[in-house]
Amino acid sequence: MTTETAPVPVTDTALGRAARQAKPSPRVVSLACRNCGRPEPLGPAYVCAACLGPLQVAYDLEAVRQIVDRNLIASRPPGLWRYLELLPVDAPPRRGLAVGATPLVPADRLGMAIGIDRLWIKDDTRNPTLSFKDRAVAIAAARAQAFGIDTLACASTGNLAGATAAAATALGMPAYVFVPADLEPAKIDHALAYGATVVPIEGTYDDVNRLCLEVADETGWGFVNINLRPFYAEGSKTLAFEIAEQLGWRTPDVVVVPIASGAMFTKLAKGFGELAAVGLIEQRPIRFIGGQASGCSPVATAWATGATEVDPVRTPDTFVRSLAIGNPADGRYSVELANATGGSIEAIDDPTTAAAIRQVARLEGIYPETTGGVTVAAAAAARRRGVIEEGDEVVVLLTGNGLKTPEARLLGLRDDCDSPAARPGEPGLAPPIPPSFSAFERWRGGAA
Amino acid sequence: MNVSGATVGEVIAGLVAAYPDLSAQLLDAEGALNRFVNVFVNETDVRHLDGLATPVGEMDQLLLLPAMAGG
Repeated sequence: MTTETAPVPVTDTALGRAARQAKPSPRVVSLACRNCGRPEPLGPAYVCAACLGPLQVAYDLEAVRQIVDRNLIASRPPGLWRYLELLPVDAPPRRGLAVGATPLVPADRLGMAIGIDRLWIKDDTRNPTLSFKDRAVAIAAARAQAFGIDTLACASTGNLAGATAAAATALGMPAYVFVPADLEPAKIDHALAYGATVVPIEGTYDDVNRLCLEVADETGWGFVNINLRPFYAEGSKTLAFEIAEQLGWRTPDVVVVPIASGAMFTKLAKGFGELAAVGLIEQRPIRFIGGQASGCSPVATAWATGATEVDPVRTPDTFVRSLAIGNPADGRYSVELANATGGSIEAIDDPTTAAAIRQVARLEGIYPETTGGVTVAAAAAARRRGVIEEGDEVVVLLTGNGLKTPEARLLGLRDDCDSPAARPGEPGLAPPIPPSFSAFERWRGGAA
Repeated sequence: MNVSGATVGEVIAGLVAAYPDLSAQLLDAEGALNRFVNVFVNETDVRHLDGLATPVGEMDQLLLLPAMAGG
């Protein structure tokens, strides 16, 4: 019987040596264990040496409070670096993609359709690689450079692949992207376009992730969502920062967020909490609603059954590949957050997700990938459940662009919709017609 | 390293006996597996098998990893 213990003693790796040479920011104090609170030196470490709990970045929020205010932030260019004091980076990188500053759009028509009076869409489909992952990668990549790491890598369910590949290219670093071999072709091609080396793994995302834990330890590469994870996860906070600033430095009653690992869900809460702690907003209660695909819903199941631990899903069965993590790292924290705030975690089946993609695209002119369908449907489900109440101000996150999952919107569509013979006034593809006005009139008159 | 045992639990007990410092990382106060550790037998998570009671043979490979799955 052979036993391997991998990558626990992170301080003895090449990454650890690089970390010791990095100069810490006075406002970013250290890493700290989310489980036992034990501090760890700032570096590319991700698990507590004492209890193996996950590490997160700890700030001196009183120091931040002394240097940051709304005017300082307003004086800076749009984008995630305008919140520098609450990010684990000493200074914005000299190069890199233009990430963040995505619109917060009033969604009255969608709101009317799903019974929510005051609905906003945070349209994060409009990042450089068309998903919110650019936020997380921007932070991880900047920190990787500070640590002297020369190669960027990731284990991806799809959106992270393109984000990591593009960020690495922008910073002049090589990138290795590990994905499930059966991932949507558009997402693989996206990473290839930026010049990454894409390594398809014959297995589920959880298999990919397990392998990458070992690869990260052996190679010293900077895996944005593994050994750089404490910094990577901080990127999602900038969604909270932007939402609060776009609402005039206040918070909504409800946020609706997709849950894969649960990192974005929990970091949004951390982001709103930090804004209040440094005096940028007033602390008000926010209900956190999560959405998962019912074909891979370990967190929603734990929430629905009142469990405190998340039972992993071995074989995800959903077309929402971005959320197909059977063993989510922040699952337990996500359940705790939903419970503590009076929120919920909804499980959405694939046909309902597809219908929600069509709904938001046709009512609001925003075309999300599958995760966006999940969050719109989760908002509707939470409204029916009564977690969202009449008069609530609700922000739904759309975190990836529909062009990444081009077949998804068609699931469950009746044959007579979007068929290749659409008539005037119908949504769908009309038959080809000759380039003459008379042919157009014949088609318009119903003769086609 | 090679550790003997007929089940995952026995192998981990043997490992902790050989390296007592691992006890605090791998096991909780009741002797159960720390929830931040994932244990794989030949690349399958033991939670999908019989947990610590999962039988193991001479040629099986046990992998201990931090619970760190996230896209």
